[in-house]
Amino acid sequence: MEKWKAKRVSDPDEVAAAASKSMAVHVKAMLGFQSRGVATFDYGNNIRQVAFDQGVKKAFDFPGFVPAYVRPLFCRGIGPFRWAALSGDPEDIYRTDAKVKELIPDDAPLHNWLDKARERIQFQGLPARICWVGLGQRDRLGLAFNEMVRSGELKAPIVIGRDHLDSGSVASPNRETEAMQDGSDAVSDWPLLNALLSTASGATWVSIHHGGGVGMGYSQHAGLVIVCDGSKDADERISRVLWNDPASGVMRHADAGYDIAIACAREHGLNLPMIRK
Amino acid sequence: MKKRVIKSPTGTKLQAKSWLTEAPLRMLMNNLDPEVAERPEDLVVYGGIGKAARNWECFDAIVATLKKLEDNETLLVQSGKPVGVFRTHRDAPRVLIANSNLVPAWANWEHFRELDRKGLMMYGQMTAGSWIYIGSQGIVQGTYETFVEMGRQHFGGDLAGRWILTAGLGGMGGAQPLAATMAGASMLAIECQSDRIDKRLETGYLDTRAENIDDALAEARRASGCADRSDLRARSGERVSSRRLERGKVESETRERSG
Repeated sequence: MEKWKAKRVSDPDEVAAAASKSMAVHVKAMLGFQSRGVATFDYGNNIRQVAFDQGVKKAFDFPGFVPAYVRPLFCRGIGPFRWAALSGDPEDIYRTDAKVKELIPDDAPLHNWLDKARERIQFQGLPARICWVGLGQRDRLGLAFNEMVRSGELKAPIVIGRDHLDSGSVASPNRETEAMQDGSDAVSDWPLLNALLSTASGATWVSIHHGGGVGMGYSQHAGLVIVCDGSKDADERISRVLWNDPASGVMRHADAGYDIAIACAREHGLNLPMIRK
Repeated sequence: MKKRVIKSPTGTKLQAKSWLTEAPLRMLMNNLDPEVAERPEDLVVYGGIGKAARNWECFDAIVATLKKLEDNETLLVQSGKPVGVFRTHRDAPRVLIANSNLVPAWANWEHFRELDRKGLMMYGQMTAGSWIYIGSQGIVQGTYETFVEMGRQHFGGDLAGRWILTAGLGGMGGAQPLAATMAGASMLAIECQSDRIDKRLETGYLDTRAENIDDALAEARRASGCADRSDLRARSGERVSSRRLERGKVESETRERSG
């Protein structure tokens, strides 16, 4: 370890080369596990590409975590929904936690997450919560939170936002849009349309970024935040913004031909002219 | 210059003219809270160089502008710099943000860094420059969802008695053992830097450590109450970290498993 620390300063190229060789060994081991029937995946650190460049031709035989496990969620507009209490009071978040459980009574992993997060994760800065919910749930929760602000159950307004790593808001061929089934990995019309839609729908702030997560040249993505200030106007905006945003993710995946997304679009009555009814 | 410490105001007293402008003001400041941000003195929120505003002068100008912004106006922010206020309408966004965008043929680090040095751009990461980063909860949660979905697809939605083998307990990887436990599985994580293991033991993200692969596997067997080598199932809730896995051992282990 001491040699490594010293070499990082005196000869960083040699360290990088040694690390690449080590990653090739690592990926070979992962391929070995996979051949023995172990569920094997890359958690988004580009290790397969490095191994491939080192001559491990089968490096991409095991999948990245998005195509394997996150995409089925994205197909239903499920992604990292989050909110923060502008009051600064943790009680406001605990009340919203309870509201989420009340409105979504049948999702055991979601309830488990909310309980464990409260128990194990400390708030940093303004108290906040994340939970993955999709089309049809985000707007319901948003409207319920706005009602809680209106009634005085919460001490101050709530902001609702999400990561740009979400269903309809990112083009990133080495991560979020890896191996799309129609080959549209690098098409960034989708996040741009998502941002325009959030703007037209009345989000409180909207952003268009480039290069997040994986660096310059490799991603384009969009963000939004909407305020629940308890007003009737906010009800209108929330019902548009928090429906349209996940719906645009369902649209993007339905357009790519994913059956789960097409079924979800049908179930929710989305008007997608090129998707057969 | 005196080091500035930024924290979001709390409570119901407004600095801006409405909650629609108070909210971005508070969330910008929250991104730079020392509890939240990686290097707040440099306006860096997370991910190496992901910033909330281009420089302190721009930060102050954003704050001043938001305090005066009307409910029919929209502030435009270009790579962390407030560049204009336009008349819009009540239902329009109060802030529109574009960060780090480059014409495709120029979209590389070399060109970005040149512009950054000239003070023309800022790297916004994802939620740093768009003022909705809330700390490490998001990392734990994304990992949790991944493990839960893996359980749904391969193990009928139940990860009890299963354990996950992984490596790395740094800023991102360190969330894995806690997320695995929350999802009902156990985890064996390999990490070569001792202090990273210590940090995760301190915060309760990790339960125990082993110094070599034999001890780590023994720990997994002990936890599972199972001596059968072919069925190394750890009891739910046990997270083990193994340090100093010798390469020879890893390779022989691999050959054995794949053979």
